Amino acid sequence: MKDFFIKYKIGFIVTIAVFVILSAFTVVRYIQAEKAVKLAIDEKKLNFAETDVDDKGWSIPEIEKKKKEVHWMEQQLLLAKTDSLNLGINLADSTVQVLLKGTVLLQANILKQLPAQFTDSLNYPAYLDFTTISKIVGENSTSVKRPVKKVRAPKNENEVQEVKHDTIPEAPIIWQFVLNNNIEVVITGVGLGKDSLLDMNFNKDILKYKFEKLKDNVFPKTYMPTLYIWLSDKDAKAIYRAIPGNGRVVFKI
Amino acid sequence: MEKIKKYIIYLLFTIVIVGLIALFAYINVLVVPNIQFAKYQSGLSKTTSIDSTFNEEAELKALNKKFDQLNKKIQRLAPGNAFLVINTTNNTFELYKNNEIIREGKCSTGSFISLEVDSTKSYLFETPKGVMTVQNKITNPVWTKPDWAFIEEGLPVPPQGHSSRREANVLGDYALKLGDGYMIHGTLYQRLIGSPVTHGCVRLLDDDLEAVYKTLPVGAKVFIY
Repeated sequence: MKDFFIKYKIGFIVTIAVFVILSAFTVVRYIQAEKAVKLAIDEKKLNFAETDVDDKGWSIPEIEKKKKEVHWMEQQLLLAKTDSLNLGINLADSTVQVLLKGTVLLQANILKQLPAQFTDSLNYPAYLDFTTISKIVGENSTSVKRPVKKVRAPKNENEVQEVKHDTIPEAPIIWQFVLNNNIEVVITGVGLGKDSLLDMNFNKDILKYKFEKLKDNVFPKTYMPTLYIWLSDKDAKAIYRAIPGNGRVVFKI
Repeated sequence: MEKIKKYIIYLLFTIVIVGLIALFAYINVLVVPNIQFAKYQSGLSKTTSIDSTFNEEAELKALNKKFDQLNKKIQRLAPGNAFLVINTTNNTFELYKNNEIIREGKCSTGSFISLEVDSTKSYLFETPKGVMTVQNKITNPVWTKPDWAFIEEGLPVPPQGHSSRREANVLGDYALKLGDGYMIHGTLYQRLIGSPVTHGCVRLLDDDLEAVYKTLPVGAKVFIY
């Protein structure tokens, strides 16, 4: 046995070294990640301390449900006062809506949502923080909001050319935005496959997103919860183009 | 034989190392974020203590009253008996009456073409988003061609009111004016319905146009997104 270890010591050393490096990396990363979460929670609690919220009865399910309904309606009324198109993410009904002046213009069913229980059983101040109208403060997307094509005006009749419209279907959209209440939302469009059925790859998508997050934030200093939503690509693109760059968003949880 | 055994053992080492990398990648990519989220959630979770002086019945009554008041306010926001919703991304429409969709189908909206006349002047053919109102309804509309209609054809722009600006039988049987020169109307190019090809107006197929014309009164809301 001793001979075996000696004979293959390089193999053992490399394996142990890999294990130690990976373990050390993971432990440091985990500690950093935990600190970041604690910091994010403390920051939120600091915000709550500044607001005087009456949370009486929040632990009673019937009252909690009613308070949620009332709050959702209050937010709807506030949104209705604005002239712009707004986004409603109703996790209670698994729908995403485009709202204007109190009218639901588009209601898309959420095909998949991760985490499945996003901010479940929150305390009342935290619930209000998440579900009060928020604003998009940063976004990026694989699609464009206004697909403007520049065409030079012809100088005479002979120069007139027929404008060709794109016939190649655009790839499904990935729309990522950050809200001013520190929530990140990633909406992924699900296109149709060759069999005309929805071509869903949730696991592949989530692995890709989380790996990208790891790459961008190896040792996280801050934490922001991310909600991943998959919608039909048609709806996702329509919603993306409808909502202005700094649009308002309201959640119902 | 000894050589093969050595290769097999080093292959096993490689498999173990790859396995370790995969395991730690899994932990870092998926497990750590999940733990973070769970901790975040539990850090903001509710407490279960109930104040003994709290009157549940009275609170529920007050909430129900507030709910009814808000509900009435929300109902007052309803956009009237009949309205139209236009989706400019998918080029579709939905016609509502008594809060139900009574007709839906394809339409055509702005092409997003920017017609560049010179370095200072251009026309963007975009259907505006937001809420508009039917301001006027007309049968057998005659199109008054704006400047861009001549510019895009490479023709000289005639003066305002010139007879060459008026063109009949190109907007279908009906038109609903929305203001700022935007209209809902028909088209000669029916096969293009469903594509973004207009100069900003909303084009409908003949039957759909008739239904929209007959359903929407002057003052009806048209929501465009």
